[in-house]
Amino acid sequence: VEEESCAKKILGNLARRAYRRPITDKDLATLLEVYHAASKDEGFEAGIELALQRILAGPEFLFRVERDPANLAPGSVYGISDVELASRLSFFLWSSIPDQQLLQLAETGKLKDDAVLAGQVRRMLADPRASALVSNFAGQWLDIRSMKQASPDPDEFPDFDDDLREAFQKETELFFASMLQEDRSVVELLNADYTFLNERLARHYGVPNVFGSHFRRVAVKEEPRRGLLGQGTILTVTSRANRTSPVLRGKWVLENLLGSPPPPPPPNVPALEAKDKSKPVTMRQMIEQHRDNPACSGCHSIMDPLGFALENFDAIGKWRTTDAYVPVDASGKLPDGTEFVGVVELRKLLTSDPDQFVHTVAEKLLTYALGREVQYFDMPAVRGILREAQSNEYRWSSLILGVIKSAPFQMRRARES
Amino acid sequence: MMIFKKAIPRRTFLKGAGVTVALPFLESMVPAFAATTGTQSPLRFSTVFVPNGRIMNKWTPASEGAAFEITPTLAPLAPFRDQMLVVSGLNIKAADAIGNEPGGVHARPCASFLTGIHPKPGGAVGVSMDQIAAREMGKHTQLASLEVALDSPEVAADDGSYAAYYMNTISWRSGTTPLPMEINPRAVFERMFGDTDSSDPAERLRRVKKQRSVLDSVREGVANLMGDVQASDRPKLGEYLDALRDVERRIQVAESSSASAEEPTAMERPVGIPTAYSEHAKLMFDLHVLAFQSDLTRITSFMMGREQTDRPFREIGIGDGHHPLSHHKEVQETIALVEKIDLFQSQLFAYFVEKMRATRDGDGSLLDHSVILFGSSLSDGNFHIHNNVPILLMGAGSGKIKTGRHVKYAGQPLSNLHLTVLDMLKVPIDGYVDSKYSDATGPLEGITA
Repeated sequence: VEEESCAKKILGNLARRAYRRPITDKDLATLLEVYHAASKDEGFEAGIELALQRILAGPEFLFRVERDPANLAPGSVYGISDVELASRLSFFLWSSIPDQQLLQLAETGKLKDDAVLAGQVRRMLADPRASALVSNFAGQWLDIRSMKQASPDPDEFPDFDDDLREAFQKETELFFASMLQEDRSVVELLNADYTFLNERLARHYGVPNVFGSHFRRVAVKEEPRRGLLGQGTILTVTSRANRTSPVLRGKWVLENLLGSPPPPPPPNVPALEAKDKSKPVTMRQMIEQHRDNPACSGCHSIMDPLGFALENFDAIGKWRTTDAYVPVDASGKLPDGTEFVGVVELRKLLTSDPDQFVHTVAEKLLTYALGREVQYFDMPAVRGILREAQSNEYRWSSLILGVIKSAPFQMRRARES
Repeated sequence: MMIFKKAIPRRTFLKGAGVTVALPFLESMVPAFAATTGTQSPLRFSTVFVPNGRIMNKWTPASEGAAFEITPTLAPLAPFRDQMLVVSGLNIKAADAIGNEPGGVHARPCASFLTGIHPKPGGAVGVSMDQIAAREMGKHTQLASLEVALDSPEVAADDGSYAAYYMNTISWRSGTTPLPMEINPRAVFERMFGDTDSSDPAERLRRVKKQRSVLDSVREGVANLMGDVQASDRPKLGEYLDALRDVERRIQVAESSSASAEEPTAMERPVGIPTAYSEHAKLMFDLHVLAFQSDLTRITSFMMGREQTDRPFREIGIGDGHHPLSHHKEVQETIALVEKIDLFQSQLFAYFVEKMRATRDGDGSLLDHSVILFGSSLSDGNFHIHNNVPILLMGAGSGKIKTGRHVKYAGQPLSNLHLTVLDMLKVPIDGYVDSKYSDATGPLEGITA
């Protein structure tokens, strides 16, 4: 009997956390039944073990269920409950279940209070669990995850090894995490004057006086190296195994920074070929043929110049001034006549009017928070988040809070009859 | 009835077995989880997919019929010539672009490869033929089917408006459920044999009983939930129920065999993912053989590369990625590199066939009682052609296939071949051909004996 009440207490606590809501009598009865199936022959611990299996294999844990309140008109739109908000919040910021504090605030109906909510968001971002936002959100948005499989050609890049691979990834992760923790402007992702290096990576970048394998914050004096566009991860995952790809890099910038992914190429594109085969052509000359073909030029006239600007970085992000003994030409010209040379001028272009970049971040962040594609009807919400951010120096907290307070995050549509 | 008594070339087998096999398979050790007694060995069906097309003039034999010549890419398969049927002239019709569909030149043929159904960007496909077969043939085995691959799906690129998953799998449980392919041999092993080391029958039976009580309780929980969720969410719960049924079948089979069956000890638990491509592929093939031999499943699908894979093959001196190389622009040196990759993958496939031939099964070998589909969803990777795709069948399917030939068709859909195979496996094809979205028109003539 004592064991039984112990089991009730233990399983009730576990289930409340696992199901992320208050536990009903029925929940508990179900778990006790499973508990007895094992405890009657094998004792208390076996019973708890089996019931724990039941919790973790059950749909209540595996699915995030939001139930419509009773007596709601079919299809009507309503605000989700505090408890449901707690789950949405913790899966967004932690990729995990709410903790005691968050659940308690929700259960007592305090979570929707503006000050409480803002306080919780700040607390959660400062918590180590917020690293999930770096690995999951930044990892997917910026393609950092692809670094694991990047496979530069060892003949072409004998310098590249797993130490460098890990260092690249670590740099970008630490960099992104510091942005969140210090609540900086999201624009600093592009132009921050610091990064995180160890000796191996510093040598690769040509930064002096960094010794040892541990990572530390280092001021970036060379302007081209500043921000994401100067980081090895981004430059490597947008390259081919043995050469840079201005097209891939341009596409990355359009898609991930400017939020306007180019449409895919039309079917059966003829291969790029040198027209005059009597003399060697550079990659740039080959790619420039895109402009001659109207089927290609629509997108490539935007994509390619953005990529050309990054040509001073080789396929593993090392600085270079020549490519195959020819001086690098990092100049680009957009269809509207805007001209720029190299990464520094490209960066200026991207940050001079940060709204488009911040709009993209807001859209990506909302997509991540909702776990679905952002649709046309979400655009007012995205613009709302952007406006909120504008008046707060584009700080991360203002974007994240903007997402959390947005209608798509707070509301739900009741099931149709 | 035909009696198969093919000699097992045991010596060859031992030579190729590698370090993972601790003991040679003796007849008395061949475990039987399911009822495979008597002389009737069950048929197995395996698909081995290779990505990015092939260099076709090195694949397709010029002559037809029994006198066909072995081409360079098929050379590693020459020892199995009498067990092989090269099938040319089949098109993946369902993959034709409809209207102005952007991109998808890799994704569509791959998604249609086993489904015969056209995928819309972001849309549903259909049940693939291996899964049609698994529904039926999986009733008797612990695992309905096994899906494995070599490329990590985590970092895969999209193809135009088609997300990466259209190229990460060829197996679709339903039109909206692409089955993930496991790339870690250890995980495959544990799915087959469980992750506990206890082989005491009484202990295992106890474990099974407990699993049953959890399962029953979980099923009740799902039923309660069904009424509460939106109609659009019900398929999600349905898929979960499907997964539960898999577990249930595993428990049932374990219950009925637990008293007598020994876990096969012929292979050690793999440690993880080998670095070398060839080692990784061979280990996966070893696991295929083990699964068939133990009758843990009768259906497998294996992607030797995800479609559009960028993998370089340094083991054979190729530093550039497979996909960029496949766009060879008719440059001879590049074509030569792609041929090298094609040959390499044929060699690895030959390792599998050899092992299947060397493994005894009932009155013959595993190969005798199998149908293995080997091929790619593109022919010319350079121009993304999904007509006249490279396809061959290996294994006579217990004498049902007239092997040792090269047959040529005039552009019939590939899914018609799938109908023929399903027929051979005695799987009702209703669910496959009845779909109004399928490009299949009827089984192919001239395949069966």
